[in-house]
Amino acid sequence: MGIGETTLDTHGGSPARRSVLNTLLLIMSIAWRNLGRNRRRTGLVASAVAFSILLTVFFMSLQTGSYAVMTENATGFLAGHIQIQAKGYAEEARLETTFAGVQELLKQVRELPAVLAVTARAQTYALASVGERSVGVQIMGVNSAAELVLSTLPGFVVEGSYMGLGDPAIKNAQLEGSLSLNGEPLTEQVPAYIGSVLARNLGLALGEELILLGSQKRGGIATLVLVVTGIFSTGQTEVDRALVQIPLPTFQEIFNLHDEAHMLVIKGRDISQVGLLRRELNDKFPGLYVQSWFQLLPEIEQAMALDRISGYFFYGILLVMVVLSVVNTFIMMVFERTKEFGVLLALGMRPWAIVGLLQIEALWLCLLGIALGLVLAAFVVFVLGSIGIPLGDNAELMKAFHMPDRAYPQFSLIANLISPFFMLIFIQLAAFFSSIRVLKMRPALVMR
Amino acid sequence: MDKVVRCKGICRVYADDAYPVQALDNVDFEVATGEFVSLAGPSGSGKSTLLNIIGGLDRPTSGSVYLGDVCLNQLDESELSDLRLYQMGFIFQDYNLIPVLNALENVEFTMQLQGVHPGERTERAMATLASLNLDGLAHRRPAELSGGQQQRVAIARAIVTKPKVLLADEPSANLDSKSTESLLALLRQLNQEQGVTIITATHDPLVMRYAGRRVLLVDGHIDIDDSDSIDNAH
Repeated sequence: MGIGETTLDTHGGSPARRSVLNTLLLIMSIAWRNLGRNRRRTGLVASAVAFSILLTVFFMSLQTGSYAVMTENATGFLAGHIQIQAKGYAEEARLETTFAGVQELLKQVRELPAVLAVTARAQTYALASVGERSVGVQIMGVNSAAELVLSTLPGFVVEGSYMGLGDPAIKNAQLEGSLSLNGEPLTEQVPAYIGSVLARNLGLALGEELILLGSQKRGGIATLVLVVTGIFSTGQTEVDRALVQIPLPTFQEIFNLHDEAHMLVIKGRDISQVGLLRRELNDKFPGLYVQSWFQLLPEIEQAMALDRISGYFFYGILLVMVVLSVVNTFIMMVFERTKEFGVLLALGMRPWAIVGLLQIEALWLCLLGIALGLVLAAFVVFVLGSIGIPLGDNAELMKAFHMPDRAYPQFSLIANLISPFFMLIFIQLAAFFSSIRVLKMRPALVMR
Repeated sequence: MDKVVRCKGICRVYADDAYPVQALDNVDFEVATGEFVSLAGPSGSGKSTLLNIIGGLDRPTSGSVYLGDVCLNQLDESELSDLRLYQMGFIFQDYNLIPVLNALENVEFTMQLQGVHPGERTERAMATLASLNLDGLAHRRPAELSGGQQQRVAIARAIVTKPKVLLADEPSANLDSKSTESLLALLRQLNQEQGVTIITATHDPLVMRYAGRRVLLVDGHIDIDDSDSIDNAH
């Protein structure tokens, strides 16, 4: 029979129903007051819970912050948050696999509220020659103004300027047609932004010419003379050795693409909403292939997943330590209060109600610790999220990769929910397995 | 007269240790409604064990216990809890008040378990405390009360639900003689005016004098039962 059900009535006179609500209110009240009976023990257990919550929430927030930096850094380099490509291009990046109507597509994508910036790119491989030296390079046609918003690559410039932009001398010369290189006016030259390793391998300096030789989309030979207007160094050898950026219209012209491109690169307003934006784009452009950065940069997602797992392992150990201390406390408490439980049984409280009493005591204790832990964690995350945590010796390295020299923990709803949730569950289990012996108690034996 | 308690062939062996202890040995015992019975005997005679078995706080190794028509042997722990809650009141040697509740809340405790409406609960609890001259101490916690006051709160808690049987285990053990006299007068009043059946385990001669029927246990047997010679039912 459960509480609230009809109970036996040997004389037929007593009210034969219990109120679940009454009993619940009673044990909640007693449980809360019981926390004050041994304040030192309550304080210690609540502090252990709070400390563990503080640590887990803080480290998860730090992880969230570092993932945000890592993601922004990785997607901001070239990939963007989302790319739209012609179907089949992701499987085999062929020059021929383009989509047409680039300007119209750009317009439509730009109109979406979730889109911060969008640009078109085309790319292929070609032979780059300077004098007797020739190497294979990746040619990328870009809109230089849009790339400044979308990509961090322009920021890696070490000589000259990005496609001549921002360099007053080149800009003015281009406008006036007064600057000449090797006898040709600069306005008729095509600016190129090349990697430092490529420049070194070809013996190229700023303002020198580079000849490209490649295949057009429709079978002809593409040739082009470029002038190096900027040299970048990203620290990634494969990029610095092979990438050459040129203006997209030039690319389209020499490779025979008519308002065609290989990809639209999109930066969303909120990277956490990238999934929604991808679905929206998928629905809007069913003939094209839309990929988010999860697909474009799987190694980043995998690295974060690996880091999360190691984090969870650490949190798990922390949780186990706290839960063990709570189990120990509860076992001690049940032993110390054995007589009291016998009295409650003798007075007519059901064994399961006493187990419930202990569960609610554990709940109060846990909630107390969680509240304290969350308040402390919010304070620490807020302060350190504002001023950052210096990375010490790693700061210079991070700077070299255009990453912040401080780590910034970032508020994470998941961090604030997941740790308290598991703490609650495991402490309830700990309390349950400690208190279950009450079910076997005989009042007379435990009240001795 | 109706028999409110019937024990048939009760044996209780404590077998926790290497050497089993026979606390009760084939005890037959009955209590009529309205009796005031004292179970007396030296330490280890089995009086508290018998009281516990009657109250459903312990189970006999063999034999049967009935409260009215209900056989306690057949009840599970939850049903025994219900039986104690609705049919019995307990007064313990150590008072055993709930330390985090004040006197009023302690008295209300069993009524709250029964689901009595809050207004009625407080009214009945206050009335009971007042009848025991404790109304001025209603909001004091047990630690703020004397031994005698705590025992009276324990009595209030035991009688407020109007139990059919009141079981008292060494109720005077921690009381001075004045408090004991006062307690016993109160128990006799409950017995005689409200018809509450009282069974008390004691080795206090004063308590025995107040009881209408005295049962002497020795080594787990009933040695003397004066029920035949004294008409103790009121």
